[in-house]
Amino acid sequence: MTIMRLLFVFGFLLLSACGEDEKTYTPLSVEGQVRYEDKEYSSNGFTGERFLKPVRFARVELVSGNGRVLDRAVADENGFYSLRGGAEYMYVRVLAFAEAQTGSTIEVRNHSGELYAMRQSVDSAGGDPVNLDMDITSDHLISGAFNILDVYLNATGYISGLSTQPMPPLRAFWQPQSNRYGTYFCSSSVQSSNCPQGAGVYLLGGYQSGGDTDEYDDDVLYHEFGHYLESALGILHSPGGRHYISENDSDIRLAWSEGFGGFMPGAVKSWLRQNDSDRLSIPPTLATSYFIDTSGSYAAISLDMAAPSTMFCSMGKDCFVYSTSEVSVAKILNQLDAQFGSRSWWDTVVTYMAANNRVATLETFWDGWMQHRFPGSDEMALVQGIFQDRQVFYIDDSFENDSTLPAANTVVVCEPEPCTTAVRTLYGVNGEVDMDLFRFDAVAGSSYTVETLGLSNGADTFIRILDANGNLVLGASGEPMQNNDRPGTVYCYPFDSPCRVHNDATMLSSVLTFQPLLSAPYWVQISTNPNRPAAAGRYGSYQFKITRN
Amino acid sequence: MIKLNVFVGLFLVFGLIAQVAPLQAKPMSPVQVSIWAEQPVTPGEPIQLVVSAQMEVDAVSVNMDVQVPPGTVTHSGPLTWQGGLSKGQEKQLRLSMALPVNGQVFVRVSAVDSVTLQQMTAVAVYQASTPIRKLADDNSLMQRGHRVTAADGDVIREFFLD
Repeated sequence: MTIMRLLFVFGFLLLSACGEDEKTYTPLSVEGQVRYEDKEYSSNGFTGERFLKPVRFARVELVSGNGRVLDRAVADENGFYSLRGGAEYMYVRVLAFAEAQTGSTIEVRNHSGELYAMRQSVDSAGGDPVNLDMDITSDHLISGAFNILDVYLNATGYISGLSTQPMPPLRAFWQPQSNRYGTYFCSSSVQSSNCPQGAGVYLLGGYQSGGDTDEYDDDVLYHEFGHYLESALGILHSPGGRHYISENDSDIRLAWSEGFGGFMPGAVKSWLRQNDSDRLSIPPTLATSYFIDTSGSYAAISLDMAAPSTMFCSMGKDCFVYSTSEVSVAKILNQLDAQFGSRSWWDTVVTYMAANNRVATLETFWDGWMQHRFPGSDEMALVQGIFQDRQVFYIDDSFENDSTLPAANTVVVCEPEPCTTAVRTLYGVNGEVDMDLFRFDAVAGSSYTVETLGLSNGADTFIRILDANGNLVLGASGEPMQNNDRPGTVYCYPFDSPCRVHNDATMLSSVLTFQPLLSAPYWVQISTNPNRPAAAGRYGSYQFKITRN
Repeated sequence: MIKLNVFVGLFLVFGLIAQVAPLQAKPMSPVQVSIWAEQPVTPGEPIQLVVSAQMEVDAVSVNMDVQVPPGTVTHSGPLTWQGGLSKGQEKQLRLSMALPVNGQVFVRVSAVDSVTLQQMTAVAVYQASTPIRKLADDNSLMQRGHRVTAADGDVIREFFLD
């Protein structure tokens, strides 16, 4: 009796679990196309033009009224889907979720980690099959989620042409009208106050709470994709944080990372223009090298990475130069991409920087290019031209080879009045340490100021004074005649918040006051500082001067 | 006790990692602008507004443009300014005006290359009478949708197209 009762209860529960949907209703085919409305932007911001694009490769589900998924499909490249199922009430749900060509998934979620979806009821009155097209216009609250999805499908599509390497999931956490504000990439899977969902692209704030959330700012989305890519490849070494697009004294790791991010929009858009221009959100007349970040109806930043305007530079002098400028790095990568194709930079990044676990900077990218591609003289000339256009000098200066006492060049001692100085480079092929030696004839009793100045490209100099035997000279009090940074140097300027190393002309320069005991020749040895901060480079450029006080 | 210490230690380590994990932020525009009332606003009385612009780079030509709503009576102060600003230099405009109820003063500061149309721009808004609404929490948008839990445990926020 007890067993019979149990069987009865079990049967009742089983029937209840199944629900009545499938029992009662004949399955229907539900077919249609899903599109979203994109916004065109140009150098002045959004143009007002809007156009429908297919929601490609998104997961589409047929769901019953009790929330059961009856069928599931992936929309094709034109947004078409086909589902089949039966229930008293059904709706089609399009998820902001797609499987990218890189083998990863792309998901657009809110700040709480909930996956965005758009749903529409199935009206079966017209019979089988039911046609259900879904047009998500841009005035709908979450239409931006589908632009984010589409932009990241573009980006992953571009990368899939370069690599079959599987990529980790790409998650975007987009939350308009949130109290938190900012657009950034979090690389750590550890949850924190800024990154409550772990790794991913965060696009927060906007509308009444101030700022904008960038859901239609394709260039910003591609920029953050660059950071995702760096993270996926294991070459994200930037300290991150706040950075202005026109700075050229940045941490060399940050300049590379942000430059890589700044390069990515142009690279993807250029590829799209060649292969699938309908996927672009810019007019045909606008160069793909423009980086545009809209805020409301205007362009907060509109900068041509291929020809940045010097109007944003002091005295109109080109400031988008050096390995410590993100725009400079972006322009170099853009030009290499245009000259040698995307595989050239990709292979350098993957087979040298990532494979050898190099700290990612423009310097290690250069090293990789040299060691991976072994450029011939023609390619070398082109590459040098591209780097030197941005005043990046990874080349021996005209005073080499001067690393031994006999080979040292003799320098003229300046009198107190100004005298000219030449630009020299700290560069060694394949990362070898470059030692520059200068001979000067000192007079006993005189006082000399020996200094480096005009530093650029991440140079951090270290000065030593040697005697004729190559030994380090000691001062009158027995102190070694060597200097790393000028006395009193603090890695912080009054306007810094937070403090940081500035790879500018002076912060990492060196100075010595030398009073020789003997009238004799001495040698000044200049090299990169072996204990330099991580923000500085191994290479770099500097000027050198000896002044008799 | 040892296990507890290890747990606390790991908690602190992971907490520290979470704190210091760098954010890779998007580039910032070097233009900064703000607008505020210099004194407490008295209903019916003209207000003294201060518009402040600052650049993070040297800019040869900067435009400040203040747009007032219809019905505004401007008592004093320029509504436009053009000139160069060096890095860190601040330019202020002081305005006196009587604004209509709920009127918005919109200020736009930009450095534009008129040939290539490259630009750096920022805007700020002053809202008379009622402050710009600040949302109480993160949920205002989310609450408009329908929260469902999928069979795999994933949480979906559905929005209705019909």
